[in-house]
Amino acid sequence: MRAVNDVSLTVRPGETLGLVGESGCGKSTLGRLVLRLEDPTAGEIIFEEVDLAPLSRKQMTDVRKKMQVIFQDPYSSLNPRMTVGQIIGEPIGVHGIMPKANINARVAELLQLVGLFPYMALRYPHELSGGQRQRVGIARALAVEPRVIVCDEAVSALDVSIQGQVINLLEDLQQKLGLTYLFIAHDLAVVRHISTRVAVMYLGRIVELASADDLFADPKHPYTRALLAAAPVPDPVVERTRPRTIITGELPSPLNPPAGCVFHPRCPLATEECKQAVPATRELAPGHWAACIHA
Amino acid sequence: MQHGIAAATGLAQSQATGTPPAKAIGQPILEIEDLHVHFVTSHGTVRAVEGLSYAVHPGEMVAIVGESGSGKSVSALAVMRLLPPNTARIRSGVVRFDGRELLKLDDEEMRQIRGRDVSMIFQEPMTSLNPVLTIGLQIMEPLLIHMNMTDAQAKARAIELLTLVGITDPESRLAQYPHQLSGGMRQRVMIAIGLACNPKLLIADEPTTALDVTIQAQILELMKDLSRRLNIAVIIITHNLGIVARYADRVNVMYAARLVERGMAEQVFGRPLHPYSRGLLAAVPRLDQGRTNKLATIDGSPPNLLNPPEGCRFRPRCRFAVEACINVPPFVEVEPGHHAACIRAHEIEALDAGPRRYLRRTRLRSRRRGYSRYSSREQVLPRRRRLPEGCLQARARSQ
Ligand SMILES: Nc1ncnc2c1ncn2[C@@H]1O[C@H](COP(=O)(O)OP(=O)(O)OP(=O)(O)O)[C@@H](O)[C@H]1O
Ligand code: SF4
Ligand SMILES: [Mg+2]
Repeated sequence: MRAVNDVSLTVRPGETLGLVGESGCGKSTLGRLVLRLEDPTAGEIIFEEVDLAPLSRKQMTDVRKKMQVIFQDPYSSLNPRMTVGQIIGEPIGVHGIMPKANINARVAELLQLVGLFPYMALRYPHELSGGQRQRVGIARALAVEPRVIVCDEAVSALDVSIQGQVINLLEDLQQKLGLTYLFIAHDLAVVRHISTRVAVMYLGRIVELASADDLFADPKHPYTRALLAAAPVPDPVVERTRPRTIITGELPSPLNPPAGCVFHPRCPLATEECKQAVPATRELAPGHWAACIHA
Repeated sequence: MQHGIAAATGLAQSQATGTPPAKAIGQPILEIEDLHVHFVTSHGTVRAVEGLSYAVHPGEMVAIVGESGSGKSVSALAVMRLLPPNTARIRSGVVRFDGRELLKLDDEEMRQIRGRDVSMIFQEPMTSLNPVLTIGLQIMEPLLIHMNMTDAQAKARAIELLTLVGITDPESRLAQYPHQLSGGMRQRVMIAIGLACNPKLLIADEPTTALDVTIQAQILELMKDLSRRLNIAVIIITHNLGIVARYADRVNVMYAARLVERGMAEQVFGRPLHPYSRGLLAAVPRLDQGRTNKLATIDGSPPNLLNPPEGCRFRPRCRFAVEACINVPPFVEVEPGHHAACIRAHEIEALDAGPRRYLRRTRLRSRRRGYSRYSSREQVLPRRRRLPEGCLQARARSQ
């Protein structure tokens, strides 16, 4: 299964790199590769000038301290039999960050940092709301003082009103702690809101990469354009007058991706040429990359 | 049949949603009056739906939105009489469908209506399709049971239905099993089954949440188009306010088991009257407007239905709460066709700068400071350039 194919990506310190694309396109796999939760078959993952790909498990433990992940489902990613305090305190103990005696105080501090209350350390996950559980996940990720956090659909399962709270929290923490985020999500409006730059993935390849403003103001790749056209805007007056073009066709199986440009069977601009070779990624404007020969 | 969405490849322009919304005229096909649903659990009684009333007209698409756990799915399941019999209790209420009171029918009469006159599409088609039966058998089953068709007639109708929902090569699909189809195709099959017996009402509970944006748009365009052409009433339950704005004619907003606002889509989005709806609309980031520096949020979290707050359920989170909110606010018509359950609904616009104005204000402020929309982030970036350019680089391939 080729979930991810020849992907090259650079995340800059202090930025939020948004990663969007259809489900199953390899977004999460890429996130897992970066964290070495999954092993790449080829390529390199360079973190602070060190290639992670050949590192052993033990060597990775040190790196993991600097790279954390927040998952989509706040419920299944928290152990239901552990209290919130144990959940957040565990990685501090595992990495031996501070003496055991200080852990409780640090947990209380982390809970406050994410907008919860120290008394909640004694609660179990099922005694919290979805938004509160997601905050516990964030607090656990922050416990080891990481530099990079991979947010894999970290706000997707939350109610709109709670989602806003968590996004604002992530932004505040970034400002305060200088964090770098790889923000994987399918909601384009959320990605635009939070990201410095955005990469668009389709069938395991990055088809476009640009600053958030450039990408949404002037999308170059036909797939990015299709995504934007398909995303509805919460305003019936705008929607009723908005001309809409919707691409047809199903998502091809990643087991057997189309030859040439992977998007060509659904692409309104496709020509014979597109079926021949995988299009090179070109810089069409400063910092704006796209892999389409007609872009 | 040449269908807008079913067109093989390339761009399909949809007309369905460009037309003005259907006017709610004539007799409603479904009327729900004062519905109360409770769950009896070991922890106590969950009042999942309280005093819900609304109507749906033929050819109309009505959306139900609201916080997770607010009773959207339970109210739909109550209409279908599909609630778990051992714990769920419909305490009171009337569900009138096409002149018949559904809550008074016996199980056999209800089975007749379900699958023929009313169909329901669920979020995850994989769990509602039978994995060991072919697609063909599953579409033909209701036709054989409810319509007394012969095998040959049912097969012809199944092919027609698959074509209608935009599945290419329908004849060969009939012999396939659900796992051989993509998620989008499975959802189309669910719609085909739902449409098999020409229902008058289709209830879709998060029908596209599990799907990709472009596939989601295809399915919803299809549902909207069918509803208009075949005069089917559609109830759509979703968290996605963009979908509501694009497809729904009318909107019901639920909060903590109660209806808090109801109106035409233009009314609810253009002039939301309930503080919860206003908060909800202000909290969604929008692609059609400039980026704000901070998202508006609703503080706190929704109440526990085992022990809900007295009076207005939104009171603990409401910025406009006054002493009188300790009484349950009545559901009143504030402008024609536009209802809300808030004692301050009539003055809410004056009280609240509102989602629109809030956004405009932040944008103006950033422009005055000479920032681009993007400035807040650019400002903080340089401070952090301690690490070498590209602190994380990935070039990877996995198999
Ligand atoms: N079988 C059950 N037993 C007890 N409580 C239940 C049961 N099913 C639902 N509930 C409760 O009823 C309330 C309403 O649930 P419902 O499924 O209608 O929410 P919803 O509005 O559809 O939410 P979501 O958007 O998350 O799907 C919730 O508080 C839920 O916990
Ligand atoms: S009734 Fe009172 S508490 Fe409830 S929404 Fe209106 S102002 Fe807020
Ligand atoms: Mg539901």
